[in-house]
Amino acid sequence: MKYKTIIGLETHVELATESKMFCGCSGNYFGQSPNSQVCPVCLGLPGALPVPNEQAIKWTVLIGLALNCQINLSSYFERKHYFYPDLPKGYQISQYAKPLCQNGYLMVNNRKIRINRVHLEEDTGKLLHGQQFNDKGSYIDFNRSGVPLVEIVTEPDVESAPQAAKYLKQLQLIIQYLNVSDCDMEKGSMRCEPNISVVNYNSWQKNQQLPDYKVEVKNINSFRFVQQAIAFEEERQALLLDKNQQPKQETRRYLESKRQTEAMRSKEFAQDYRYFPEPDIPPLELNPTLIQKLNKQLQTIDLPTQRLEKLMKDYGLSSETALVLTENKKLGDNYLRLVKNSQDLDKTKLANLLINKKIAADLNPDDFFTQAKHLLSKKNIDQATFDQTIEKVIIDNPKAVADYRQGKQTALQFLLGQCLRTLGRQIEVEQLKHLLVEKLALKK
Amino acid sequence: MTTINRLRQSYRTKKRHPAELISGLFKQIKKLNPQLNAYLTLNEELALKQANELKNFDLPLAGIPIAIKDNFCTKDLRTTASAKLLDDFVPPYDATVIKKLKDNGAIIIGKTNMDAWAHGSSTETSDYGPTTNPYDLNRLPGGSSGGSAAAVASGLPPFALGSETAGSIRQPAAWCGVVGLKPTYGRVSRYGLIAMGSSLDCPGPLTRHVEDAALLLGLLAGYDKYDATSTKEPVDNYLKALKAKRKFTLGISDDYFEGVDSKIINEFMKAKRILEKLGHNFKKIKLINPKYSISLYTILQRAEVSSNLCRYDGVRFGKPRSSFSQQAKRRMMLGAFTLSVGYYDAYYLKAQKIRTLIINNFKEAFKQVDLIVAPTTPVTALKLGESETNPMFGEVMDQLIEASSIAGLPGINLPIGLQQGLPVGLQIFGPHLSETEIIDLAKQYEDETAFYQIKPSDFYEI
Amino acid sequence: MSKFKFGLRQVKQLALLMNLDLTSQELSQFAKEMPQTLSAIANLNELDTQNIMPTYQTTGIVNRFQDEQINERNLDKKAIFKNAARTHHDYFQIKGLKYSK
Repeated sequence: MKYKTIIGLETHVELATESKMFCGCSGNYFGQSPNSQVCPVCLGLPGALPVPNEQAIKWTVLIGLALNCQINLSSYFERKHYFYPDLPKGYQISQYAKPLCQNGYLMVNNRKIRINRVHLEEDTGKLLHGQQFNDKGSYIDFNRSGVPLVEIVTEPDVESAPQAAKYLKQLQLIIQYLNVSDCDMEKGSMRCEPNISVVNYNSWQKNQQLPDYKVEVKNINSFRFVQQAIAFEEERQALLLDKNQQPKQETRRYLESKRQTEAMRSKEFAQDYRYFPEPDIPPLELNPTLIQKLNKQLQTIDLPTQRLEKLMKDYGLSSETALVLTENKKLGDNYLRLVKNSQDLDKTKLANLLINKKIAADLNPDDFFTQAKHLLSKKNIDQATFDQTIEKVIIDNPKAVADYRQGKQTALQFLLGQCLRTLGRQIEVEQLKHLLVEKLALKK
Repeated sequence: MTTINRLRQSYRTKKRHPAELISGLFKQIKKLNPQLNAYLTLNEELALKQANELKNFDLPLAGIPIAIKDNFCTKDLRTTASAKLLDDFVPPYDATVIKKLKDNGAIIIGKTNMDAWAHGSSTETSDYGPTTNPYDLNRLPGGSSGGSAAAVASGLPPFALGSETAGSIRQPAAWCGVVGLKPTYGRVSRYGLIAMGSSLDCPGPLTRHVEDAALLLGLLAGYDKYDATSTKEPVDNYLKALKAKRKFTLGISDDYFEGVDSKIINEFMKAKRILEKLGHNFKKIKLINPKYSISLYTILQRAEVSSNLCRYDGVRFGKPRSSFSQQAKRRMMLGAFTLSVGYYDAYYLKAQKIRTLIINNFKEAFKQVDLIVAPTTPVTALKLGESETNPMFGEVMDQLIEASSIAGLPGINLPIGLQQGLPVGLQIFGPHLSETEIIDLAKQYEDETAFYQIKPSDFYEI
Repeated sequence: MSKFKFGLRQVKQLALLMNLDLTSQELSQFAKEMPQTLSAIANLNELDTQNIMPTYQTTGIVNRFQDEQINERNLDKKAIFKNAARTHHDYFQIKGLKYSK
């Protein structure tokens, strides 16, 4: 192996608190009409002042505890200054010298990924470029401005793209299981920026010294793209090192269409955030009893590892099935809710019904069991019987067929009902419907 | 002797009606403002409407006219902080103190001139021209609440709201010969006050009588859920304090007479004798030399200013950043420097450590004395143009006030006489939340001297 | 006594950090003025602050949290946009993005 990859991951998670981080505006901005959830504070109007969200602070500590961090009982917010149109005050209220949580870790495939810090800050507004309005302007929506954001930074302990994805998946699940965020990269409630340095393997083996360059990659919105971005950077930096050139310390943008990273317009100056303690917000002095309480709360929450165990031990599911249900929290939640009194039905078969989407997951238990019973005790009907029944129903009901051809979906339901009359209700309706539609198409 | 309570009494007994009073006031303001330039925006139409429609005369400020310094956000009424950048800014919300004034029935007359962004002690750095001193129109009123001080000095009206970061209420009050009260930091909500020095800014009243300042403070003070730095300590009974007539031990520090004009010292000594006659005794205390406060305040204030002016990017409100005046740019540049990597420790952090020294110094002093008295300013009102000579003009003018402001302490200016026709001020300041003691002492001095009888020649009796 | 010197480069850097477009005249003026101010306040070094903790807040308050109803201070669209230079539909509009994050 010629080169070693050194990766640090910076993740931002939006907390699903009721109100924003520093004002009472609703924090639930997704899908709302633009600039409909703002007040003088999150709009950065002259004279407005920030007042911290207690729930956000508690949830940040909870995340820190779940990541084995030390909690700083004395903590405070700081101003981080930079100019950008989506940052209304010209500074972001964040944390710097005294973050809420420090020095934690997450085990990923038996490797300890150390967590440098977990801190709390506010999100910016959203800057949109004018494609949707067919022009070159830029547009800003401040609904997201001020939403609480937790920043989780690892030490440069991650070694590969798959390991990065695994870390992120694990982190995502933990946070989802804590019920503090839906932590969804597509919705933007989870964002990741990897920092990648490729170094000579032999020199790394010798002295483990970090190089003086790291490349930060922005604009990534899925785990798959994280891996692709890392893979591209590994190649790009290796090529430079091959030529005895040192990669430049820079920030690059990931382009999903090209599966590449590209250099961002170089800054004309060295960024200096000019951090200083936020004078508008008194410091936090967390009570040790609060930490004890949160730790106790943590014990009562099933984190992913506990759910996996429960599904395998108490429900007898295989590790594969259990993993699927664990990695999709909503599905797992519904499974546990529904299968509490599974009566005599096979727990694994019920799991598969949900996993394969044969039954909707959001049903109430009664409806769920009704459908499950049907599906699980279905008669074994051969293809020929299906074909025969369908053909006969089509011949016997020309009007309905004509209606269906004209687009009337009710006609399809009618034809389906006619088939079921013959075949009995204990069959897989979806399969039948699929065959019926196919046959109707053929006969056109 | 026109006080808030006497005015209310005249309304209740129907001897006067607010509509007539307020329309007379506007007439006089429009006559004098061209030479005074105390007002940037007048609220005439709405004020007259409110005065005409007033029904509830029981509210504590029912029908009472008040001038508002232009750095308080007033809903639907232009607010500029005397900066061209905010020339057309109309806030969509009221500052908490404004809401309290309105809820108590006060009638806002207009927005008064100030140093742009409150960066100064002269009102000469206003982007709209200086306000002139009612005692001498060739002189400055002080700042940054110069417009409010000049209005009160002229009786146009005799009640105003100002703000102080380090001297901006007390210094113009001294130069214009009026009462200026700066509360303990956190006593009055800053929500809606255009921020200058976030850890220093305090809204406070300017009036002709101590009882009016006490009454206004009582209505403005109190915990505000919109301001995380507003104290939850219960509001004292300031009106009761007016009658307490306690005897105090008053501290006096030699350092606070260094560089002070001898004529001001003379007036101060006269006032000292009056206070002794009233039964208060004086004790010498050692305070940290004010020259350090100048440096310390320069750093703290510029650092916080450089940060607080970052939100003015011309996108959601205001003009572009190119509209900032030289003075504002100057302060932002120095402020950014003191916060920048490599210099933060030597400047900003060092300043905050010295702040601790000053706070501890005062704590020690207040173990020996109840309150501290000193001249408010080193000189009387300077001439127009004189403020532009020194980039640190403001800090030098405020040197006797900066330390107490840096420590967040409350203080008051009392007009104690004229020197060559110009007002001289005495300041009383005390420990954290000692407004009742300050008001008590101030009222005793006022009753003894009737200083409100000193008026400029164009004084208007409303 | 001025041991401070401000090169134009340093002043330019500060101007960029503060997002101020200064003319070359202003830049040289500040390069001259700032060292003067810094030497005027250099007396702070005469005070010993070893082992002294900084004071960022004079109120002594700790743990202050939100205490308002959701959307209590929500502004309506008219209020939000009334001071904006440019708006389009329900967005604030800016032309030509000058600075990058």
